Amino acid sequence: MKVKSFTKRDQKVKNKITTLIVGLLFAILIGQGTSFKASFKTAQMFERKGDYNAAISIYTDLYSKNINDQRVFRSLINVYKKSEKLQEGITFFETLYQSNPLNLQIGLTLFEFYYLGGHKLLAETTLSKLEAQFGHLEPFYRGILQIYMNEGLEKEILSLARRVRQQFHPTLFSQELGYYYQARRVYDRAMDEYILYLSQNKDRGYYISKRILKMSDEPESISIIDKKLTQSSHIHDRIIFILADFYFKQQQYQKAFQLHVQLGAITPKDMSRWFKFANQLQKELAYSHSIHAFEIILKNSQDSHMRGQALIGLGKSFEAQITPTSYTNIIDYYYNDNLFLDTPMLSITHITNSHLNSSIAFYDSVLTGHSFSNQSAQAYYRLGEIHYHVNQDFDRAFSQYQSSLKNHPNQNLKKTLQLRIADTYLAKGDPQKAFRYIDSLFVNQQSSDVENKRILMAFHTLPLDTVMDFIESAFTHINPTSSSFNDLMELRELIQIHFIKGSEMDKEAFQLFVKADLKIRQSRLMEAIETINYLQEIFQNSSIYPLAVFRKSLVLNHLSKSKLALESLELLKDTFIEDRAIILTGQIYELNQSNIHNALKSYHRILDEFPESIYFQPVRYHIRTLEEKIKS
Amino acid sequence: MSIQKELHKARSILVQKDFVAFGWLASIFIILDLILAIYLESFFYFSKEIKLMSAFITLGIFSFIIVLGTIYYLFIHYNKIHRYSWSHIAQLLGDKGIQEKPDRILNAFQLSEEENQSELANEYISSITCVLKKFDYSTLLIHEKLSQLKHWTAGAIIIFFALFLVRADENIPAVYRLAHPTTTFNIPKPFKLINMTGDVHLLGGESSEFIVRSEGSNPDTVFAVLTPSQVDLDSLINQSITLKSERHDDGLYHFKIENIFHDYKYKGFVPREHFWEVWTEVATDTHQIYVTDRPIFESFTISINPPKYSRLPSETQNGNVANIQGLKGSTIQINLQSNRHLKESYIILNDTKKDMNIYGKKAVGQFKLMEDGQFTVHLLDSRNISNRDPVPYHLQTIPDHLPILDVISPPQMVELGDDMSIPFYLKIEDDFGFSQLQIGYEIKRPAFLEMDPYVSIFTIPELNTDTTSQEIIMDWDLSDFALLPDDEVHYHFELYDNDNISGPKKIISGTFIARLPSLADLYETMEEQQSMAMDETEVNLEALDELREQLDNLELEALKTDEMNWEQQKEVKELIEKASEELKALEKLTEAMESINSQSEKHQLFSDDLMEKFKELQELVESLIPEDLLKNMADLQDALEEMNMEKLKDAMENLSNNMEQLESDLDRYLDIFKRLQAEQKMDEIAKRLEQLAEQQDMLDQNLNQVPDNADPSTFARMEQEEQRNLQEFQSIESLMEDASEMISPYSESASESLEQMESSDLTDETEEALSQAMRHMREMQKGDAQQQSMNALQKLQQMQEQFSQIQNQFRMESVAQMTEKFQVMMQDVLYLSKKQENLTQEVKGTSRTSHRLRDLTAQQQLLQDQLRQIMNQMMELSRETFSITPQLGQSMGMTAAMMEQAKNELADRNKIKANTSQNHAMQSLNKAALSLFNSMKQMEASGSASGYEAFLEQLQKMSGQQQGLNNQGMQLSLGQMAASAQQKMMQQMLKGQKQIKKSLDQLMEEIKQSGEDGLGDLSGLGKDMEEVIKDLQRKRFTRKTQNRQQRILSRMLDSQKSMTQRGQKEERKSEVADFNMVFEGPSGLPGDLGQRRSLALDALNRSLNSGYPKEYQNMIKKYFNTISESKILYEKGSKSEE
Repeated sequence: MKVKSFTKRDQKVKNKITTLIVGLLFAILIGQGTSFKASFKTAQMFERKGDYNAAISIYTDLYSKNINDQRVFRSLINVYKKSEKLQEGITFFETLYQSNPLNLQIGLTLFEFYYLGGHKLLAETTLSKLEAQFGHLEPFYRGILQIYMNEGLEKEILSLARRVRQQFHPTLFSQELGYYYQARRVYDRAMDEYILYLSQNKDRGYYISKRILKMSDEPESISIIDKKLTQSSHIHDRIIFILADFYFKQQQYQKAFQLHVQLGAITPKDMSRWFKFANQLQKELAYSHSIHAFEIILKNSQDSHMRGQALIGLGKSFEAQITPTSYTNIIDYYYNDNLFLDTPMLSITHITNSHLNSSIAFYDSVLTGHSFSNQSAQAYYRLGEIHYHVNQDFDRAFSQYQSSLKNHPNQNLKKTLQLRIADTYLAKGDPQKAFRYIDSLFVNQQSSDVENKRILMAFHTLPLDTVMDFIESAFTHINPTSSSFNDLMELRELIQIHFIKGSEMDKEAFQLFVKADLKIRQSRLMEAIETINYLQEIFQNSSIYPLAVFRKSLVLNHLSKSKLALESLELLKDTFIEDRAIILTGQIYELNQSNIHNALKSYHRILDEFPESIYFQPVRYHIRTLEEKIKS
Repeated sequence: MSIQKELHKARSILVQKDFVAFGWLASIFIILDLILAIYLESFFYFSKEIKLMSAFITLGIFSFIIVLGTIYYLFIHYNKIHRYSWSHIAQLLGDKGIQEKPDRILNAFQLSEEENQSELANEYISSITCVLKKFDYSTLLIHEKLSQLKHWTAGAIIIFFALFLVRADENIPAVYRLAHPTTTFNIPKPFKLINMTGDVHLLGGESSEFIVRSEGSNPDTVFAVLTPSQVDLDSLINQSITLKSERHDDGLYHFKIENIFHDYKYKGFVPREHFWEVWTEVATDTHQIYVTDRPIFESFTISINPPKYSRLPSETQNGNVANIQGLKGSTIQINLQSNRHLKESYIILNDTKKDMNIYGKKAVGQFKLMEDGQFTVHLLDSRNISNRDPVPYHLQTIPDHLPILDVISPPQMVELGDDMSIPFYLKIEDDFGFSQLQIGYEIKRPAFLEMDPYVSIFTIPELNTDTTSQEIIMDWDLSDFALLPDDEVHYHFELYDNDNISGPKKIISGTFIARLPSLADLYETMEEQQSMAMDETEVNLEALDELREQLDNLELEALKTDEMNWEQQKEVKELIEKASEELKALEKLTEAMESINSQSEKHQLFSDDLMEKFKELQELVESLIPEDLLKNMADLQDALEEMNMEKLKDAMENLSNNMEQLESDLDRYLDIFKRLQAEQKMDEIAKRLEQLAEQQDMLDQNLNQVPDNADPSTFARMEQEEQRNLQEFQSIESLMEDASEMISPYSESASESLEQMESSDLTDETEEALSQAMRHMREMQKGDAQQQSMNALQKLQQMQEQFSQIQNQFRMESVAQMTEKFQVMMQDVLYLSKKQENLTQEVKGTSRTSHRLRDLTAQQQLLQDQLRQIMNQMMELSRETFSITPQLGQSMGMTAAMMEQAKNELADRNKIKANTSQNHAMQSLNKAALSLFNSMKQMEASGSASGYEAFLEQLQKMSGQQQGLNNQGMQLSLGQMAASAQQKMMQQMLKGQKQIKKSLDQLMEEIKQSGEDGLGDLSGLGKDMEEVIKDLQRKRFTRKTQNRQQRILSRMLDSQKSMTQRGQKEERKSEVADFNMVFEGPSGLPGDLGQRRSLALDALNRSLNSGYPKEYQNMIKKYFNTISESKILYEKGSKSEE
């Protein structure tokens, strides 16, 4: 390992030897009829490893045998450029061009290499020669343009564009030039080119629209886009459509709405556009606009299916306003969205009664109106969902689900209803019935949804060892791509740590914890707190203790009992859940008590004391946002 | 028509004139030819044939000319030759006769040729005819060259006569000879040669001389030619011999000819010097040389018969090879046949005559080849003529070389293991075979024993005397030598060849030493080696850190400048050199680690689990040096030479990054090494405690068997044994203190427990009991001693139990700690997976035109940051355990890549592609979680991080099943079963083999998932099993199938072996010793006997504590008892002297 031995000469010798060996190897491979693919991969491997000599050697050989292979040709160009062996490249392409004087691509490549290698005179001569030969072909100019764009030769680009547009087509290369200017942040020129392109290529509007929307991520481009699109909106509808998308992205929903009105609401195609637009507005929480959009469909559409869909969309818009999302947690505190462990009720913090009433009234009107009879199943289901999630009136919810079932729901809705009925049994305090119901379903339809629901019901009814068997059985056919895979892993882990591997005390405490969880599912929150209090008192040293206390804190916070929540969070010092407890403390200070100072203090503790915590990054981001807010 | 007549006349005259001109020209040629012929004849004396031929040729030419002339005339006649055509003659006449209008004659002629002539034409023709008639053709048609030709002819005649007269003397006889072409004329010669010797008679091979005299003039040189007078088949013999002699002082010409075997005709001659000389040679008369034959060898062969021991075949060579080589002692036999009947034949061998046996023309003789020399073979035929100049044959003896002995192993010094054997691997070679291979050995006892070494010889039975080269692989079992710790066996190898002619030759190897070490020594050495390795690592780390800092500084400086000054360049060069040195140092570390590993493995110093971990650590050390590091250094050097600042910056950055990687790996290595050391210490204590309890038990049993009135020396011996146990106990106590300190970073509670145990009442009481027992033994109070000994034994057993619990506690705690870390990590991974899933859903439900896509991209970035954090933690964790598998790393790497891709796609508003990448990211995270879960499960199941035990158990089970199947196969192959029974059995076997195959696949999948290696030869099993299954499905059970089944089983067993390493073996293997160790020998013994006593006791203590099997321990005790007895005798003796 002598350092002195690593001289340049030695390296060159080494390179030569490597090339020779590679050459030999390659010859043997070819001799043995090894496929082109294998050789190509070998060359790519050498290229990646930085052994350019070897890569060039193989690529050139491959190219000589497959002269029409574009991949090899491109790879060869790239490797010459990458390895800065321009002179070698020139020699190679010169020879190639001599034997293929009619090959435009080789000619262009030679021109490019001359240019890159600083042989301007040769480059110009070659260009003139090529132009004389291929000047009547559009691809020739496209190739030249590409080379100019790669080198950033603005003047040449403009001159070329002018010339070819006169010769061939007035919008030629407008898309390419649009991309080029956009990449260089010359937005007005980019827009001019895009609009020029759109004026002749209506069908390609989707791609241009995507580009323009991406451009609008840059604040300085917004006014330019607005201006240019508005000015050109008279050209044709596609530009108006792009402008509508642009306003939508800028959250100028009214303007977008107006443009859609301008585009019309007559044809089925128009209706489909409106439906999409209405859904998008709904997703963006622009409910009033979405309601108007759905109303336009209901007014103008003759298609009963479309009208039905619009009706349900309308209902969802009303529904969505019942529980406005005012704030999201800084982190996911407790098995967020886990099928088996998360309790969705706890995320509802506020109900707008007016919207509740209007929603119920809306669905009632659907159910009474004859013209909407084929939407009854959906309407009943939605009503059931309102009662289940919002009112937490499980009896009424159950009856709505049953009604929905009677109104010939489609297969998907039927399955959803069945799963929801099991949930309702559980919420009503009859887990045994819930398990029996779902178990009977599982006999006939062994889908993963039903199986997961069965595990949930078993978790609250059967011995935990049996639940574990169910879980292990599920793992024999579930794969990591499944959305419930991680949920199941979490559940298995929880039972494993606190029950299977735990002591007797741990086992008892965990069973209490599961009881508390069931009570939370049944919205018997105070009873749940009492159960946890009992657990807290008796099984202080159990492994589930910290998680139980933390759960209690979350429930208390949900019940707006901030002080109590903070007190119970205090107990979690030196436990595995301490970081989450501190963050929740900070969040309570910040949101419930508006004590930003204390909140920041808590958050900073995470940065100082828990640098390895998974929540470190979200907290850091949050602190930054909070501090910026304070400053402003 | 009259014009034609005129023209006819004119042509006749023209032809005549031309003929005359031709005659003149021909006479010129004839004259010149004649003079040329005369001159040539005067020089060359042409033979009559040439002359006649020339005459005929001349005649032929004349005839030809006449024929040609006749043909020419006919052509003229038929108007075929232009010169003589009518029109040409008309034109010619016009040109010469009517010069003012030369064409008139021609015109008239042409008009006359027409068929219908007008009157006018006739008139014109007539007028021209009239004109023609007036012409005198002989004057008009004069040949213009005629006078010139006449002049030339005259000139030729003059030249002829001039030339003729110049050499008239020669030319006149020449004219005469030419005139008589049929007569032969003798050519005159300038001198005469006379042979003065005449005919010659010789014996074959003799030389001769003949003489030639000249008369007339004396030529400078005379030649002689000898032409064989008989035709021989040999073309060379048929060739003539030409000799040359200059004129001697006596005026004669002498010719010598040597080694004549054939009859020749000969003559002397002188050839002409110049081609114009008319004679070709002047020669003597031809005479004969007559030769009489000697006896010669018609066939001659020499047979070399090597001595029997060499087992070499006989060789026969022809008489034309005069060099005879043979092994000393070979018999040389000569067979010959002469061309004549022989009267006598003999061999002259180194001046000694040996007669040969004669059989007509044949002769046979032989002698023994014992030395170099030469011989000749002589013949005498019935005429008493001997063979001429017998050829000397050179004798060369080939020696029988010394045998070659190459000792591949053992090395010069070995330490004996429990198996008390030394593995030999010898390569021996001899040209003709061996007679014996033996080991000469000498057992040297420690110096303080003052014993004479025991010398003996051991013959190696494995020697095959019939080969010339072989490898001896065997174990030399020394267990019968009753060796004791610190005994040494000095040995060498002696190899004899099989030469019975000169006597067997032997070669002796150098001296080798085998030493029996003690376990305490081994542990101590091991610890020292480990400490050194750790110290070196720490030094390496510091140096690397320093280097990296230096590199970073240089990198910063490079950023500031466009060109490096000389000092900076020098600094970079120095840095490269230093880095290279550090890498070398790291290589040494690898070697040290390897040595520690093999040392501990061979002596089985630690548990299997610990050994497994050591092995993995060694692999880690081997992979320490990143592959790219060397390339980085080379790049840096290149960049420095090219002075390319950009490249230089890049190279420095890469080198710095890789060094950082190396540092981090070294850190990891140190961490794991420290943990292993702690575990190793615990193992050592357990082992030594166990042995101590066993020794105390044995002592206790001995004490119970001692009669009440036993000899005091018995009690004294027991007291010493107890003292030794006490010392070992105290040593273990101190070990506990060390171990407590070492394990404290990994298990505080186990450390505390160990500390408590060390200072516990139990420990004190045990020590007290041991001391009391010793005291009672000294005082020969058997009952009390028994009670205390039993007490000590019980307490020792209690301590052993207690320690075992602590050790378990340590292990469990380690596993629990690790599991906890894994759990945290798994929860984090699952958390991230859930977040990724939610984000994916959110992206799915968002419009591509939504402003929220930017926020979602930011969320993806956040997830990526969190992932990076988990990966860092994983790296940290990999410092402590090997359970962070490559598969896990791959999953995390894939997640990172997919998140990055998703982020980029989101930025480009490619929702669908982003969704795909996000799904992949989530999937990889789930896989990672699964990997973590499996690792935890394995850790918990096995109680260690490796998890090999579970696999081993399964493999054992499978081997059992395979064995059963193979037995069934054996029954089938015997072919004594009914066809239906065979079918049934095959069905069973098929089912069984399928089951085993399934289990194997599952096992391999598990191993794959766990990321463990070390499958041994399992990988090839699947194929064999498939083949067996195929055979059984085709209802075919052949010998091949049976062999395959056997191979499956043996591979399974091999795999178990490879997985357990040496776990199943109870014996220890021999070990390479430290070459620097000096054997002091008997002279090292101190004279003081008291000193000797303590030395002996210490040696006894050490050896009994070193974990030897019971039979050895008994032997050791007997040996030391003898020493003790001699000590008592000595004490008694000295007392009586007082």
